[in-house]
Amino acid sequence: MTSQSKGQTINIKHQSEYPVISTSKGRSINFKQRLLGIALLIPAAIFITFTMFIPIFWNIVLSFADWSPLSGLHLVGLDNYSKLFQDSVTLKGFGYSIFIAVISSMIAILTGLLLALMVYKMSNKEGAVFRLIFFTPSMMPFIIIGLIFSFILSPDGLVNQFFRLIGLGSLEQAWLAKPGLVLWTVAVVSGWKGAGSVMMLLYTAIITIPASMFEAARLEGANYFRQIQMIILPLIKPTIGMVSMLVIIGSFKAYDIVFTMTKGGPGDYSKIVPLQMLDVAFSFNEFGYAAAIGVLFTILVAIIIFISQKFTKGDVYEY
Amino acid sequence: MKFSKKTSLVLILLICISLFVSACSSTNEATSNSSSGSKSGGKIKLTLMIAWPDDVNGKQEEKMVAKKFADKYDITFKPVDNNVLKSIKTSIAAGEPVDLSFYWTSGMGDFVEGDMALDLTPYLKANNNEWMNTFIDGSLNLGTIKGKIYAVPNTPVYPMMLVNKDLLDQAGVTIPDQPTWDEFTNAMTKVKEKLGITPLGIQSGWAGWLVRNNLFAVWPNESKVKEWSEGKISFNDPEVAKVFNATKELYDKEYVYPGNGALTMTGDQVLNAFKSKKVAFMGYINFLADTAIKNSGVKNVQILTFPHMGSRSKVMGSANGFMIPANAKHPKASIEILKYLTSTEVLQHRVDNGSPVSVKGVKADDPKIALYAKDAGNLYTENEISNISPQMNDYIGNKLPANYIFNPKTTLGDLEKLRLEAIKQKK
Repeated sequence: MTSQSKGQTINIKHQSEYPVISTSKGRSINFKQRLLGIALLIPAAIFITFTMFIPIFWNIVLSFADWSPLSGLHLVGLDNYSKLFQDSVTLKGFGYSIFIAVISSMIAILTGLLLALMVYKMSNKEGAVFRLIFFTPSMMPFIIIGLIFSFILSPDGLVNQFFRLIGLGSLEQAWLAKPGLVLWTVAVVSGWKGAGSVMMLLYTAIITIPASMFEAARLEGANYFRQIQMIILPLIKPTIGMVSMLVIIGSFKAYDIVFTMTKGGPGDYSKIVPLQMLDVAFSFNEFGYAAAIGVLFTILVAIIIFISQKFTKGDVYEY
Repeated sequence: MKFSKKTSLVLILLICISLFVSACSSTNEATSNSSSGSKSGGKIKLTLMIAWPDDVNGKQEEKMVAKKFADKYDITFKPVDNNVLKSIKTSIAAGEPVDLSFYWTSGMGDFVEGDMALDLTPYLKANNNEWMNTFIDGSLNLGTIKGKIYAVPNTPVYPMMLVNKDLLDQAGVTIPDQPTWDEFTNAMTKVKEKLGITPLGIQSGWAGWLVRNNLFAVWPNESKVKEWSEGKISFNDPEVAKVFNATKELYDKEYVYPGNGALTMTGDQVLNAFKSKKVAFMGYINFLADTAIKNSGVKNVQILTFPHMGSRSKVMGSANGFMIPANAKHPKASIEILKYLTSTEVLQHRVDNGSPVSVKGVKADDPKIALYAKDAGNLYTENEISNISPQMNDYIGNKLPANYIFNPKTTLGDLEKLRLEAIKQKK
């Protein structure tokens, strides 16, 4: 197609998403844009390659080998993996990790959601104060939280003394010294710490909902509970899904809090997978076996995230 | 500020090149000028990990070492902590080993298993056993594995029982200085009945001594003890179950402070309980006993040998000492410092501060030193069963008595499995 004006011809070659006009050098702008984009990504790609991909790949290779810092690498095939399935301590560790991750995630998500819904109804100033209060535990390092709670939950600690004071001495427990109970205790503390972050993320999602929707609902006689049910929850479901994924990933990495509170005890009744991996590598000198535990743990976490995404998947509404 | 595409590309290229060059140069620095064992201005750079943060004697020794070798070595000190095993192994695995580290002489199996410890025997035997002869007879045995010495001691370490004599007098109880297990439990029963307190305080990290000491003492003769220490006796043996049950009984009867939750007690909590007369007996470690007694404020303290089943009053024990990683960059420098650390010049000040030591030639004016070292020559020389493998060491050191208290059958099964695996590995 050509158009002609006095003494000038313009050639329009073809239509595309990005209009292409031939230049004197014969290269397309589209190609140049792509090249620029790739070039801008190179520093980040190098960084991620050396800090993530290479260590992950090395770990996978190591899981099929026997390695010592002084005698080098010897491939052993699937020996490390078959050993894992016969190691009752490690298998129990997987169970403890899943338990703490699931319970603490549920507590963090449900508590965070509840707090976000409550804080949303407050005025700006009041809400800001309470958001700060509830978010503060999330800002503290796990080690500090672990240390504080190991004192609070000790047999003569704050919790038991409080029960004694209000005449409920029968509720006193050795919170960190009983099998079973210790896992619940660690999970609750971990969940409590994470609730603040969940609250902030969900609160941010809630405030993006147009006020007109709530006005319309109020005019139709819907109370706040009904508004939560019919407006807020459906519209923030994608955010809940994303937050759940982040919380679950974080809760599987719960090393600091368990180490500070129990060091895997009493006995090995709270020895989660990260603690077991460290012992296998640095106490037992079985680096290959530790790598195999890490690989299997990663696969397990990926499966659990996949399942949780299926549960929280829903319609996405545009508004 | 807007950049043209050309400028952006050039900037990115420069960033990539600078990242690459700095990574390469830092790798080259690490190889030729590592943080451990490198030279700086003519002096060899060394990293030592020899003192716990709260060890006054250790801190004093750091100063003495720094002063003595100021002209020769550029020394960096790292603190020892409860993760010392992992810290040393991580440094070895990274190719950046510390040059000299604190470690317990009886725990060297953790390193020898992976060929990670330097054999000190040639240095000890040099010049007609010159260095070897400075140590108290028998004290090097604990650091010896298959005839090679991998660690040298500076302080004998063994458990003892500190008793608040006033509380015992109140309860009308007496106990000999070397009590049998029955004498010990009878005394605790009377204290609990008469005074209404949990009689025994022992921190969770040391609670395993109750089992470990009796696993030596329960056998009828020395040859059985030797068989046990070599892993030749099954954990299903009735004598072994007897030992575990005896300890379980203490916890079931709530003899261990504070009763419910005794397995999580820290050292400070137990010491406070001893100070506030909430416990009459406190399991403690010999070389820290002087400090503990002073801090507790209890004036009338009786020092007991750790209670034992059977007829032998020997005690399980080890020694605080030092080891050198097998891939240390300057072993001769490490040996020179190690010789100084185990000399009378350095260890005399430990004795002056109330701590017993493992070398000859020191003078002790304080008669209490003799009390804190009274069992130093009374230790079992056989290795503990925990030394047969790192997994056994971890189980016995970190999971007992808790695992047995909650699940006796499974625990003995786990231990038996570990014993058989260790024997199989050794063949």
